[in-house]
Amino acid sequence: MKTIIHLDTIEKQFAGNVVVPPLSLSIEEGEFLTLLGPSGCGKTTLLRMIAGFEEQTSGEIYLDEKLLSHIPPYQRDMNMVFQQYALFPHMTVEQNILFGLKMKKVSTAEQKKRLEEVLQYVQLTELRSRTPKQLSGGQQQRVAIARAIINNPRVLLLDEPLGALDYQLRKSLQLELKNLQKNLGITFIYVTHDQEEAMAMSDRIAVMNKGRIEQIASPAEIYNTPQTLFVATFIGENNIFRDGGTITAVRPEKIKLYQRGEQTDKHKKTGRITDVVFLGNLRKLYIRLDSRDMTVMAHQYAGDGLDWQVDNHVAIGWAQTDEVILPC
Amino acid sequence: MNTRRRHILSGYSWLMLVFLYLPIAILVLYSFNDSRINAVWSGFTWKWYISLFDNRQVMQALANSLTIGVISSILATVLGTAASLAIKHYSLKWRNIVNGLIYLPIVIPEIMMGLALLVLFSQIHMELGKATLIMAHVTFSMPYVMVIISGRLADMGKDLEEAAQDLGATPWETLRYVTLPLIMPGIVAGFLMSFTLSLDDFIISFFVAGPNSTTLPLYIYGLVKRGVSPEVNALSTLLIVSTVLLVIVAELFRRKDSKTITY
Ligand SMILES: Nc1ncnc2c1ncn2[C@@H]1O[C@H](COP(=O)(O)OP(=O)(O)O)[C@@H](O)[C@H]1O
Ligand SMILES: [Mg+2]
Repeated sequence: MKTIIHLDTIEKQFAGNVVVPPLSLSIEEGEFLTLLGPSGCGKTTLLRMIAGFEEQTSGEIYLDEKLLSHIPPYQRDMNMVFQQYALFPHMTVEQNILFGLKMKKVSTAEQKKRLEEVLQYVQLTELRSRTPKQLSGGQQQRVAIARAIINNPRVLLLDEPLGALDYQLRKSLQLELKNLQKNLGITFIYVTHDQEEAMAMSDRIAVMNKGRIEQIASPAEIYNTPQTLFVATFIGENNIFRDGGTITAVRPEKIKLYQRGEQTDKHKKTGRITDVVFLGNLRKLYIRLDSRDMTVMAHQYAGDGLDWQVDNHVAIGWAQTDEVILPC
Repeated sequence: MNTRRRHILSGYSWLMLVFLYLPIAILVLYSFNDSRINAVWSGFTWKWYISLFDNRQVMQALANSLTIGVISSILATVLGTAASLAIKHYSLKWRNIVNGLIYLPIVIPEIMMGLALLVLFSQIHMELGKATLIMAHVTFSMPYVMVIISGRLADMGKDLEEAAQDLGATPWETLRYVTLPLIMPGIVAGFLMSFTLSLDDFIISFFVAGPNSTTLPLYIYGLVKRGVSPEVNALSTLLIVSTVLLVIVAELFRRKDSKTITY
């Protein structure tokens, strides 16, 4: 795989406050990379430095091995989809989409051809002469995507593009965006604070915390072998056991419950079930440990056989291969 | 109890309105009075209005007012818009300082402004006349233009301009295709506001006008010194009506939602 964007120890300070401490990152051509982290952790700042709207305090950015620093945004071969879409309110859908080609002085014939293709692709052909105000949130989102991809950018930057939409629409657009990225082969750098979204769409996820990248890996790796405590707790649910100098993380679905006195070789801790939450095909069990002030979460799937109840005294255990040892 | 309080309140507001508008209403009424003596009503007439149009001095003052109004408000609008666009890029601290300095003329007593300008013009040996009037009018209208335009720019945010640049528009193209069209209602409102201020101004104009640049308000003042005649009432009525209309239109433009404009 070929590197398309390389960030070389870039740092960003705002009035002396370090928002992004020095950070390096290579993004591969054609990949779907997600920057995932809680709000305020510097995702937007990082994206805006790549787009050229913020200048890094130090470090360099490369696109196709060419230095990007000091090149203004309008000369960078990438496009951004803004969180609030930033559609031009005084232009129709068609004029919005054509704006980039007009600025690049593409011939009228070529403009027309690409417009029709893109309109069809994002299913906006019927709405082409409406203004943004006359569109629903989902439709506006499509216009924002169309306005960016019509330029055939090398890289598409997306800042929480689905953040303003309701849950159902977000779910279906996640799949559409993923397919669009695969079909067009454009490199996506996608910002979100929603871990489910990141899991569903990305080839790789960079988990960010306070401006630092804690781990960058495939969704499965991030989930199964988190490398830091932050990643282990931010992505999905986890049970964190602190024993002396070591921290051990075990996912709730890996926790096994036993009757006291049965298969005692597999027991690791004992406790009492305090809550059982029914979630359809899944039940969440909360177990208060006897030995210390801690509640362990365990998942029980329909058909597991045993029917645990509140106040049952149980033993818990897990396979050695299912635990993750974390650095302190 | 509640309704009684409301009655008292509404009575009070009516009293306020009467207090504010009664003098103007009387002035307008007497401009249609057939008698030369203001105190006596002797029937309706248009004759004072007609005689205004036959009066060469009135027509000259009107021409002066319009020339000075149009030129000064074009200048104030262009300069004010450019200044608003420039200070938008300043850091918050500098923006506040510059804004403060620019808005100061709005609160400085007009008589001081007039005096200061007069001193300035005589220091640089500028002959008082249309040019000094235009410069003075630009000085006091520009802050109003900037208040209106800066408000619109703030509403617009920076997203749209960034989106334009992201799509390959240079700063000039961004200005031309995105920023200017979106603040155009503000520009029009600013122009109308400046024109109204220029048309109405008396105090500052009084200081900086020359013998051949009498504007309508100055002319009216000159007439009043010789007693209030029905012509003065007629002329004032016309000035009031045009001011009110201009302000209403300016306000409509200022409030126009940029999201609904189509070109
Ligand atoms: N222009 C700016 N000036 C000062 N501080 C800023 C600016 N932009 C962002 N920040 C600060 O940088 C931090 C990261 O912000 P941001 O990149 O928007 O986070 P995220 O997108 O992950 O929510 C926040 O603490 C924010 O207050
Ligand atoms: Mg953000």
